[in-house]
Amino acid sequence: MKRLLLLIFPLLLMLIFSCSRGKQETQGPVTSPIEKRDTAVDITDKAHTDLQEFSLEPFLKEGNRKHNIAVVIYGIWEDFPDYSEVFVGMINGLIEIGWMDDIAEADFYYDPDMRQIREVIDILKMLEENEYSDYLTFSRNLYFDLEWDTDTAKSRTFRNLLSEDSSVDLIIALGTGPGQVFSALDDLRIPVVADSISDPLGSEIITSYDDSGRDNLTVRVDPDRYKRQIRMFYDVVGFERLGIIYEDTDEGRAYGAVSDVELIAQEKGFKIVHNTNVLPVDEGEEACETRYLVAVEELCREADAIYLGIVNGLSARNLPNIMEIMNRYQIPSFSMKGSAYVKLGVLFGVSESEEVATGIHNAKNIIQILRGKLPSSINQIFEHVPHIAINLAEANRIEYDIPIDIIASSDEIYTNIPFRGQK
Amino acid sequence: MNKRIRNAIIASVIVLVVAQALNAILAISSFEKTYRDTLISNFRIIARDLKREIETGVNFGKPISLFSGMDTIFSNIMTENENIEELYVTFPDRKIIYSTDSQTVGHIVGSDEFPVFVENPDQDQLYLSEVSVYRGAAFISLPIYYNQQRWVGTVHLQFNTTVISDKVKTIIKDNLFYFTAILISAILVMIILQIVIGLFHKEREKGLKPQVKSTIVIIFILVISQLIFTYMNNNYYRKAYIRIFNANVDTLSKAIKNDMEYILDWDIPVDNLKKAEKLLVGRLENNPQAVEITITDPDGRALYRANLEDDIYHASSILESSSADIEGYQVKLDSTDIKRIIPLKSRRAVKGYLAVFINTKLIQKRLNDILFDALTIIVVAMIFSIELLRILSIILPTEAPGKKQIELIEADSGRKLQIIRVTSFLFFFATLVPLSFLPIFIKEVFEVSHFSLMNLAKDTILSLPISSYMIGAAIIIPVIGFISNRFSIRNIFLLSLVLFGGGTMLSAFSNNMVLLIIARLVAGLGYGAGIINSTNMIIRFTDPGNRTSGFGSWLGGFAAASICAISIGGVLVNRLGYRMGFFVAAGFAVLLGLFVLSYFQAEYKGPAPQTKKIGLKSFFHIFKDRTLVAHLLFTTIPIQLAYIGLFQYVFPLHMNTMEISQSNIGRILTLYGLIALSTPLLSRASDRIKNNKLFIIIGNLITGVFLLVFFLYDNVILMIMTILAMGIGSMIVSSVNEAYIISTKEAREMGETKLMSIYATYEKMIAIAVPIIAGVLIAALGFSTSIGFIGVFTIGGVILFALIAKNIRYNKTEKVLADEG
Repeated sequence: MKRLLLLIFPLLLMLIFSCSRGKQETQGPVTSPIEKRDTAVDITDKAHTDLQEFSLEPFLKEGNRKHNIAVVIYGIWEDFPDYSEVFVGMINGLIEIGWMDDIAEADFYYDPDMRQIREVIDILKMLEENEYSDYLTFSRNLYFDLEWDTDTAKSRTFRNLLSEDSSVDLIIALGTGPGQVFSALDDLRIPVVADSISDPLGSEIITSYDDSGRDNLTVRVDPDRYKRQIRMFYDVVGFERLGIIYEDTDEGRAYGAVSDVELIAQEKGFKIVHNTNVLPVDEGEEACETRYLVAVEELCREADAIYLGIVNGLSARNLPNIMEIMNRYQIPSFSMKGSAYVKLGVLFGVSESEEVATGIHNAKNIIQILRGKLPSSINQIFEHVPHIAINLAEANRIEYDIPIDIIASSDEIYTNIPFRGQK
Repeated sequence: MNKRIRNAIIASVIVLVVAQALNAILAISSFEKTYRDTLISNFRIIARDLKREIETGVNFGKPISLFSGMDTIFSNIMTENENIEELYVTFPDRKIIYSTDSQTVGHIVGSDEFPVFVENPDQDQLYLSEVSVYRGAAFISLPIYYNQQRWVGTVHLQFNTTVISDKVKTIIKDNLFYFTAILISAILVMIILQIVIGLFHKEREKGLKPQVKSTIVIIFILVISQLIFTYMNNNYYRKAYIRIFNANVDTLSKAIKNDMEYILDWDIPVDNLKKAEKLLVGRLENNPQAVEITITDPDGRALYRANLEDDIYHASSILESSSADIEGYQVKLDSTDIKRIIPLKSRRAVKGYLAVFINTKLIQKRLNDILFDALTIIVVAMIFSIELLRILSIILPTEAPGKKQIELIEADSGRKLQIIRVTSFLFFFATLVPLSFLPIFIKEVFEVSHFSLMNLAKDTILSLPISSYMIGAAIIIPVIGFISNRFSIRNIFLLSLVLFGGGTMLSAFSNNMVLLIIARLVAGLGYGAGIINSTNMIIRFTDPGNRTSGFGSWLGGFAAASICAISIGGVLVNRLGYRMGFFVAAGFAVLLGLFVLSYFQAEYKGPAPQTKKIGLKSFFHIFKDRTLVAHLLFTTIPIQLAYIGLFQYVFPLHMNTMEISQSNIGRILTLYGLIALSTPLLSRASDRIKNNKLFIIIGNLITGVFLLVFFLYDNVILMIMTILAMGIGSMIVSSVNEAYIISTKEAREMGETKLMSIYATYEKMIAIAVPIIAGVLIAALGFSTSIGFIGVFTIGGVILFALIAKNIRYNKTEKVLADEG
């Protein structure tokens, strides 16, 4: 027994203290089979972030005919390419999902340098002449310009467009005006896909962000778009009085995101300096611009930061004059239009126009509607991907020190301000 | 070579190998955790950077799901860190929004075990990172907050664990080299010295015996080799730690440099970086490796500064009104051990400098921790080795050949004390090893088995296996006490070991709570039987003249086992898993069984009682004896309150509130055990002084006085001194306690073992109530006042005990000697 003890004891100790490599795979009392090393993500079946009930495969309508797509815009305005950009986005989305043939990017512009995008009517002309699709018809005959006046919707040409004889299968509506027109037409059965609307809810185009209120209408919305901009502006600058200029109409307030500004003002505790000293659009561009400069001067005396919303008189052409006044008062500025104006000298901006993503989103909606999906059942909320833009040259001019964390977070940084007339 | 020399060499080689191996394993395990954490902290720095960058954008209005520029952020990180496998940014529900592996977007990463973060976190939770392991990969997860309030997403950084384990393996390999070299050298020296002793020893009347000389040589070589090994280890670990620490500082510096140079590349002057100091202080708060980060102009004039002073973070900038703090501050632009100077360049021109001051206090604290760990390990290894030597001295006798082992045992009372000591050490080592991991093991079994019982709270259910162990002990103690004179000590020990070993093995394989509760109950039966049978053994192996020494030896074995078992048990489980921990406990029970079979005679039984007092009435007989009553009420209760209530419950909690680390709490509490090692020495002294009552009074008085001081002061130093005092007081009391009880008239009448079993039952009942009493006191009075209150109770008990109880042993010794004579 003693020899056994003598043998066992040291052996046991040796065994214990030398078995350091033999660690169990699991420490728990319940052993489980050793799992083979694999990825940390289970990709067993592909997850679809937006479930499609309908196929996106191209098809012709009954009688092997192409689908007719009409386009209605609110108006044409120099330095306001938004409708063209959104429409091009849709075209590119349709190309992406196989409903149209490839189109070179430069073909959407007047110039090879792609500095000026074509107007919608000219894009339609290009599409018509080249027949880029075997499944869709875009035509100048299926186009209408409201010329910034919703009353033009009462015209015969517009009525003809919507009549059954025109055989329009779907309408693309770009702008607040067309949205208001189509939402008011109770007897219209043609599905409408609306985009490029500043405030669909405020403009009473839709009843809620979740529901357009009309079976045949869907509007792409980004409810927090302007709120994000104003919050960011406040968080960076920390102003006490924010100046805004807008036309004192429902539309004007929508274009100026006034309700969003008021909401954030309550949230953050800053004051708003309102200025409505602007002219309506039918007064002409020059008059609007001159009056706008007066409004800017008035505002600069009272506010310590200005949020440049969309309003008559604010244009790329007028911007140097606007900035000259603001620089004199050393007022930090934020452009609703985003990098386009930041490039031209505004201090901050957030670009929200992610044409590729929104284009594909709109294209998919169009196809699903052509397949029979009810427009009102489509999810309207589609947020833009914000790009923060800053102009360091402007910061120097007004002797404003931009915090380095905003520089680090910026997606577009501009270091110069072009001369007058230079883009 | 004669047998004695051979045995001495065998014993010394075994002890050396075991001691060195134990030291090496404990040291590696101890350092491994620190090393792993430090290696992982490099990834933490990167993950925090990523979180910070995303949060800045989110707070500026970029929704987490529509965050432009994420690809650039990812690619910058992946380019500079080849050990990172993947990066993910997910929603709070772990659905992937962005990933370096685009195929995974939209899917779920990890498992439900991944961390869940809170909304509206406290400041110190903002950068709380958690490490998870899933399918062989390790993840560091950090929450992304919007405006430091809303949890909008999570950053997951996936890295390969082999990066860490490869580096750890290198450390282990290097350690093994030292280990082997020192061990071989020590063995060679040992063998030579043993041979020299054996060959050149001359018997002298007053000289040291050869076995004593052998023992001295063994201990001497052991201590020297341990110290050398520990010194080399410590040095190695220091360098490894500093290397990693510096690497982390470099990672931090590089990240800040990249950020700053990005800004400078936009032609922003270095003296016009608005809010740069806020960026720096954010970095500093989340990277404890640095204690100051300053950006200077090319001449070293400080422009923006973030520093940690008196545990407060400060930020100052020449652009702000706080510039008074930074005005005139100049940084010397030379890199040193404690300072990194990195040029900030833009278009190849130096625009300024980044100065990162290393947190030397943190390094020193960690190195001190490593040193304290090393010293703790030496103590544990030495104690274990000495106990091992004791065991081997019994198994491998070095006396002259020819004498039978049994005769030696009969003749040598010193050897009997050794046997008591060895039995105690093996017994308590077996029973205490599971203590180091049992609560965590119980929790895992609970989670696997989803046990519920009558709507009991989770914490209550988790305590059931522990309670069942105590219940098993409480059940068997009186039973064994009553039958101890009918069965041999050896057989009762074997029964207890079978029960304990069986219950322990059953625990190892328990995968549900019911089975575990039953297993612990069975193990508790074994434990209780062993405990009460030890009294039998001590009584049988000693006489009244050295009984206290016998109890002292038993307590000495307990003290040594408690110091070693918990440390070693913890390491075993970390490296080999819970089952191995239980197997080792059962293994030591088997060893004890073999030892008992070898060295306990079959006919040894417990002492017979003088009267026929048996039955349940015996439980109330102790109240007839005023000395026993006084001892129970005024000594036992205060001891239980102090030892179980304070030492095991209040002190660890209170030290935790003082922000003392867990390692240091363990070290402070170990001081108690170290003092208890001296109990046998005091027991021998009490055998000579023969006034057990005085020992009890002095011991409790020392404890009580120090506890009273908590009415006036409350700090770490007082805590340490009180634990030392409690150790001394407890040692003085313990050295005589059992001897005092079994010297009473009741003990002689009903049998010492039976009385001890009844007394032990009352002790267990008090032990169950004591944590509850302590908890109530803390809730009502707070920590300091509760401790002081227990001090009052202890002093009061001392006074009453002094007035009421008798010093029995002195009176009885002559009568006992007369009876036996």
